[in-house]
Amino acid sequence: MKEIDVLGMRLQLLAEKAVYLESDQTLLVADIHLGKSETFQSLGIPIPNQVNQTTLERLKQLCFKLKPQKLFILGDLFHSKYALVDEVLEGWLQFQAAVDAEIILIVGNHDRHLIKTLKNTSIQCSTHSVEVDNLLLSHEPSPQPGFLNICGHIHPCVHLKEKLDQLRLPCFYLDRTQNLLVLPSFGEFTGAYEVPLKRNSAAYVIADNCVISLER
Amino acid sequence: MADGDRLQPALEWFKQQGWQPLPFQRETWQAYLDGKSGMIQVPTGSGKTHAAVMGAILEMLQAPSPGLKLLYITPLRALSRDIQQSILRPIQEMGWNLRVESRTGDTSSSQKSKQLKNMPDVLITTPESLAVMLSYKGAKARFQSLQAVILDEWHELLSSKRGTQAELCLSHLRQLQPQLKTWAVSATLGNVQEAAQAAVGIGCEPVIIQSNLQRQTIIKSILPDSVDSFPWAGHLGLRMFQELVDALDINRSTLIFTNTRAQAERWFQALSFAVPEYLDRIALHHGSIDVQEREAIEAGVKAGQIKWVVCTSSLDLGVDFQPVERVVQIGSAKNLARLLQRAGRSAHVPEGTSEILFLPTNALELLEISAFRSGLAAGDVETRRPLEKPYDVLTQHLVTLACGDGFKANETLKTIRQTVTYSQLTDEEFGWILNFVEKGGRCLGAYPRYQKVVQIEELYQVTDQKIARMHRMSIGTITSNQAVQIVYTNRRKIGTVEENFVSRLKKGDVFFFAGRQLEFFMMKDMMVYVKGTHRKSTVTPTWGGGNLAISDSLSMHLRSEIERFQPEASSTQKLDQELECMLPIASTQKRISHLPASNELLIEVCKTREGQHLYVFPFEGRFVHEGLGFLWGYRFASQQQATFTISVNDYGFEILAPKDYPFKQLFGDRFFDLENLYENIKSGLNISELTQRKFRGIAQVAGLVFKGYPSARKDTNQLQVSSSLLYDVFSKYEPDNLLLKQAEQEVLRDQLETHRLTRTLDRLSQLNLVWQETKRPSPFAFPLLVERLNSRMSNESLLDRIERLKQQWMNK
Repeated sequence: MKEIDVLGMRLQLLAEKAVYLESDQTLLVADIHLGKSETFQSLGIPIPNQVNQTTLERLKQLCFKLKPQKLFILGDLFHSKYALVDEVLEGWLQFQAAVDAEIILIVGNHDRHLIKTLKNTSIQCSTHSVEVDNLLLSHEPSPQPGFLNICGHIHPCVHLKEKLDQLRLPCFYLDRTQNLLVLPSFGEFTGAYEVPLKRNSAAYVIADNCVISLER
Repeated sequence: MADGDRLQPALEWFKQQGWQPLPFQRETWQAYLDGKSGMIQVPTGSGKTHAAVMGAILEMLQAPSPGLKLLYITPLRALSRDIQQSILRPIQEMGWNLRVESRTGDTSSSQKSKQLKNMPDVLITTPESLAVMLSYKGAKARFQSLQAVILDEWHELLSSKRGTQAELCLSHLRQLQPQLKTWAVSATLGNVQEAAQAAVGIGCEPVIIQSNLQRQTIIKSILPDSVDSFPWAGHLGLRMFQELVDALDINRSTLIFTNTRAQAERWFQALSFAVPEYLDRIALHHGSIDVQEREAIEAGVKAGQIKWVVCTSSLDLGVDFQPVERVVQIGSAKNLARLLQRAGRSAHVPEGTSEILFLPTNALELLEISAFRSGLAAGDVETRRPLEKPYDVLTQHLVTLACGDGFKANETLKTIRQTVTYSQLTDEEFGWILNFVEKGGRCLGAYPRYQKVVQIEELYQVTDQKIARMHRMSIGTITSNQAVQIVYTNRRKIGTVEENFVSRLKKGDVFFFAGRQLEFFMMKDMMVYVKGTHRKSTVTPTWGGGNLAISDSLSMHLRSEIERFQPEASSTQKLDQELECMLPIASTQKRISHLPASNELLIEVCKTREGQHLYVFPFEGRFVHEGLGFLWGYRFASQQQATFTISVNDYGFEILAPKDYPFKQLFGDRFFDLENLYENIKSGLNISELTQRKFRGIAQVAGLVFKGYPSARKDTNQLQVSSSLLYDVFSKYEPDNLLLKQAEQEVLRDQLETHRLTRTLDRLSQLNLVWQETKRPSPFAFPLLVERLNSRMSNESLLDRIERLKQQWMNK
């Protein structure tokens, strides 16, 4: 875990790929991509389904540990229309039943067109960004003056390289000039996009259950 | 019928040309007409195309019948037009009523669908296009009239997944048409019998036709005036460009072969700088240059307008270049077969003499030239073996059949086992693959949404048309990094480069490609838009594609070349001029260290500011050295922990350790042990990283990664996934997946050549060890020191690695 202060707010960056706001008892995650394996399967590519269960189990354990009042999912909870099949929805409903927190999904580009179906499943959906204190929660980056924008969508990772060794590690990415914090993707079966480490930006990489800051 | 009668039409055409069929041509026709299959192995340019096709044409003339009779499979679609011309010549001149067409990736789709309905008598195609044809319904009807298949340039296909794909397609054609005759055409190989068997399938006795045509190959070299000015390391060779220009003649047509595309670009740049007045007579030809431009260059060479072509293996094959007079090889060709092939591009007539001019790029390559000459004199040539049952190609093949007429499990397994590649396929392995395409994997019912192949009344088939379409788009076994098109802003195509090269460019950057200076303008929809510029730059794209390693046959000769420096040898035998030229370097080696005799293994240790270096010189080729380096690294580290850097080249390997690492004290006989060889290598190197890299290609061939066409991207956005992510998911949830196993085997067998490693250890264990402590790196060690093509080996934890990388990054 790594604590950072931005705009007078204290955020906990968790190695579980989530952000916890202790003061508000609010947990933030992004890009879960449930049903991505089913999407691949329906198009003839056999990806094991267990990835959904593993992903949700990780989220459940995190909720049991922290007991948040609110859980915000910053978009892309489901991967595509092929994801909305019984096995996947069933798993999600069980998760909802097991967790006490109020769950709010800010829909992303992957689940925006699924919103009709999602409304039937009692998931609380928001089609636009949500303000919480000085925070602006959204799926895609949308920084605004005076706010810390926390978002997902990008699946950031950092590529560390020297002559003989290299590593690609998922990370939280903080852009201080824009007050933008991008979450790593939470889902098991999700890729990552390399972000550049510029001045006034920081990456908090995740490895071996640790969060390590990269900043200069 | 008497033989003369049977051959009459062919003999008549030959007579019209004023030719006499060569004995091997007659022999092939007769064997063909007797219903035999086999392989023709004669030097290039001796008339093998006519030897191969004329039998089939004679059969068609004897008993005309409707439908497709002859399939001609070529590895290069660029060659199909030339082949079509040469098959058409006798047909047109004699007025025979036969239709000849081509079908490759370049054929228009309207032409293709016309062909599916109404096949020509003779069809020229590639292994990939043949597989696509089998993926359409009605294959049985389409191929039932087929009489023969010709596999051209079989030596090129044989040891690749493309060859495996060809074997599988042919086995299926034989299932449809048991009387099918197969004739392969191949260049010189060390394992003729096996190559022929792979072509004709198991259960058929191949006739092997070899000619007594002798093709003499002479190796000459361009040597520096003094070896003092010659670099001890390096692979570009540009330092010698003036010597090359002086040795060539702009009026004589010349092919200049390099080993990589980047090297070809640089050499073209250098030559156009050296002789700007001849710019219109010099061209650059490699596999990433747009096909139309390549064809224009080929035509230019044929017509005699273009005189010098700097090229890569793109011109190893095919296109009859009658007027080529000289062949130049820059850098070592690394194996004898490639050298012969390239040398054969000149003097493209039977019984001609081929001459190849060698330009060494560093001092040690002088040794290689001399080794090449000894290898040729001994008549050695490498073997190329069929692959060992790659599961990914079979997976693709089964889905291909399911897209077409469907297949029955037992019957198809029997057919597949008729190929040499899969003759040892077990029931379990076949069962696993069948289960993988039908149910998605080992745990039945775990993939309820998965329905690629379904079984309806014993017949496995693909019923979802979307899946069939996607599969057809991904047929093929050539995997490479994502390529992007390079076009001018007016959309004229120039060629392709790899995406990761482009990703490093920004607007206004200048780079050198296809012999032009280009300015990066923008990238959009997998197209890079560029403008011509006069601003200079030496940035050239690099293309992936492994390093070549010297072959088994050549490494043996290399070791005996060194022996010739020994005083007793040089007194009895005059040295080749290359060795003569190298003498000063040999004596430096002797002074600083030692020149190993053939019964000695030289090991050098050297202390520098970097740490403690260990140099070992087995002269076995870089792949073997990589495996050996990791093995010994592991055997050292298991006695005293350390972080090593391991570098390899064709002559030896280096293990770099921290200061004062006691290599010599830790060394012992057990370093040559064969026991636990695989386990030690696997623990020694970060095998999962290498395996993951191999898995990329496997995932693509097995249909796990969908690339499709750029225009199809929008529909398949949801399927974007990196193969490394797939690798992680499979390793975690299905560790016994055969495709993962295959990736590991490919690393051990193809990359580290562990089968050669056993023999090498055995050989080394019988040598006398010579340990030398050197004050500075010897000429043998120097290339290893400066050309760090290396990897790390360590037992550090992930967090330690991150900490170190972080420190380096902070200090930048």
